[in-house]
Amino acid sequence: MGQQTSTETPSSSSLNHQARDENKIPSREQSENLLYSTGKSLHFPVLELPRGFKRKSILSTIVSDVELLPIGIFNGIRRGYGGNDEYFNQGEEKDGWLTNFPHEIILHILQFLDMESIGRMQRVSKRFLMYWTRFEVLWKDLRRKSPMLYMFSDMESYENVKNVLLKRFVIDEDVELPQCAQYIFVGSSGCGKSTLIDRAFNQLPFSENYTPSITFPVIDKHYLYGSGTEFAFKIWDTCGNQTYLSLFKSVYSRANVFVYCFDLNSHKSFEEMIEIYHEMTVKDISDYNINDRCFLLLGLKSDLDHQVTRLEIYNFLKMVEPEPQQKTIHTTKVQYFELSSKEECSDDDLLFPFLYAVATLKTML
Amino acid sequence: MSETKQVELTSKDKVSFKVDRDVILMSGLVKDMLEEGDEDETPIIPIPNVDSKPLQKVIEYCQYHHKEPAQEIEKPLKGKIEDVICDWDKKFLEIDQSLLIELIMAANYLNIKDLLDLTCAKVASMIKGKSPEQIREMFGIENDFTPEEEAKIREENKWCEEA
Repeated sequence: MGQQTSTETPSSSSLNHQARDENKIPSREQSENLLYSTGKSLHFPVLELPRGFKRKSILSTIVSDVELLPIGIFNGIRRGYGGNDEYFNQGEEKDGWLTNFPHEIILHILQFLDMESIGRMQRVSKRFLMYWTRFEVLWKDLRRKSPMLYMFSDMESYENVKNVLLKRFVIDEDVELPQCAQYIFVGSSGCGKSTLIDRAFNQLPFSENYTPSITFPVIDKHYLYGSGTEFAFKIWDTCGNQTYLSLFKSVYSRANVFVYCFDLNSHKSFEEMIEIYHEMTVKDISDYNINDRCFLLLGLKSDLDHQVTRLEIYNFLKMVEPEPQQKTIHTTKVQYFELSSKEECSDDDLLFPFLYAVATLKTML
Repeated sequence: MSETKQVELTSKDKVSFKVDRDVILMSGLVKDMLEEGDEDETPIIPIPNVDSKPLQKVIEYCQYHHKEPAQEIEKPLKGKIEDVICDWDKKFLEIDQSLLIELIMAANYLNIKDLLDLTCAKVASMIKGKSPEQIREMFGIENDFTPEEEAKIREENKWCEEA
C-alpha cells in the first residue's frame, strides 16, 4: 500500500481556508493517527481536527471496499484527486456542486439509486463513467440473485456484467495484469475438463471422442480478447482419476485460480468433485477468499439434462464461501458458471469465466 | 453531575451554540471528542468546517431525532424520498440547494449517519428518473464526451437507457 500522502484535497482547503488556526491543525502524530483510523489509506478531506481525537469513518462500509480497488484509483483517492489521473482532475472548478463533493459522498448518494439510474449516470460526464466502471461497490444489484450469476440462461445480466468487466480492462490499460494467471483444472474423470480446455484455449473443434488424460499437460497461452487486451494463461489440466491426486499438490501451491469442474449430466461426477474439494482443501488450501486466489466452479455439458440441482450447487458454493451477499462482483472470489463445450457457446463465452478470474485477481494488485 | 450537561459548539464564523450533551452525542465526531476530553463543566468544541446556518440546522435535526431515531432509508430508493421519511424530515428538507450541500458536508464532517443518509438520499431522489441531459442541467455538469464516445456508451448500456 506504500506511503501515505497527507495532502489536503482542494475542496477541503478552500472550505477550511478562513478557519485556519494554528492550534487546530493536528500534530503529525495526530494526522497519522487520523489516517490510520479512517482505515485503509483513504483519507477524508477534513484535516483540521481539534485536539487529539480519533475520527471513525462514517462511510466505512464504502471505504473498506476501496482497498480492493485497483491501485490506480487508490492513488487517485490518496492524492486527494490530484496527481496525474485525468478522471480526478476533471471538473474541479468548472462543474456544479454535485461533482465538487468528495468521492465518498458521491458514492453514498449513488448508493440510494437503482441500478438503471446509476447506469444512466455514466453518460452524464467522464467522472460518472469512472464511478461506474471503477467502484464495483455500486454494482450490488448484479449480485443480488445468488453466487450463480453467470448462467447462460440469464443472458441479460450476463451481457451487462461482461460489458462492465471488459470496459474495466479498456480503461485500466496502464494497470498491469497479473503476470500470469495460473489455472488448475480438477474434477472427476470424463466430466469434460480437457474438452473445454481444447475448445477454449486451443480453439479445437468439439469432439465426442473421449480420451482420458493421463499425463499432466500444461498450456502456456497468450490470448487477446476483443478489446486487444492481452492475458497470459498457464493452465494445468489434471486427470480425473483420484489415485493421482497427490501428484497435483505441488501445483496447487502455485496456482491462483482453482477451476472445479463437474458434469451437470452426472450426479456422481458432482459428488466426486466435492470429494476432491475436501481432500485438497483440508490439506492444502486454507482459504479461497485470500487475495490472490479465485475459485471457479464450472458445470459442464450444460446442453445435456441436468442431474444436479441448482440447490445442491448453491449449497456447495455456500460452503466454499459462507457469506456471498456481502460481496460485490469483483470481491467475490467464488463464482459458478455453466458451460457447454458444444457449439452453443461461442469461444468468447467459453473464455469469459477465465477472464472473470483474471479480473478478480487484478483488483488485488 | 446529574443535571443536564451542556456543550458549547463554535461554528466556522464564530457563532456559539449551547446544546444538551445528550443531543449532540448523535454526532460521532463530538462523541469521540467528549469521550477523550476532560471533565469541563461546559466543554467548548470548535467546529471549524461548518458555518452557523447549517450548524443550526444540524442541531435542530439532533434535537428532534436524538429521542426518535429516524427509520433507515431503503437502498436503493424505490420511489421518491418523500414516501419513506417522516413528516418532520419532509419539512426539514424544505431548504434551498446551497444549504442542502452545506448540510451534507456538515453531516459527513460531524459524522451523523442518519442525517447524511437523509440528505444524500434527497440528492439521489433528485437524480432518480432523470435523463443524463436533465442531470447535467440540474447540477451544472459539463458534458465532456465527444459525440462518438457518448454514442458508444449509450450503445453499450441499452439495458439502462429506458427510464
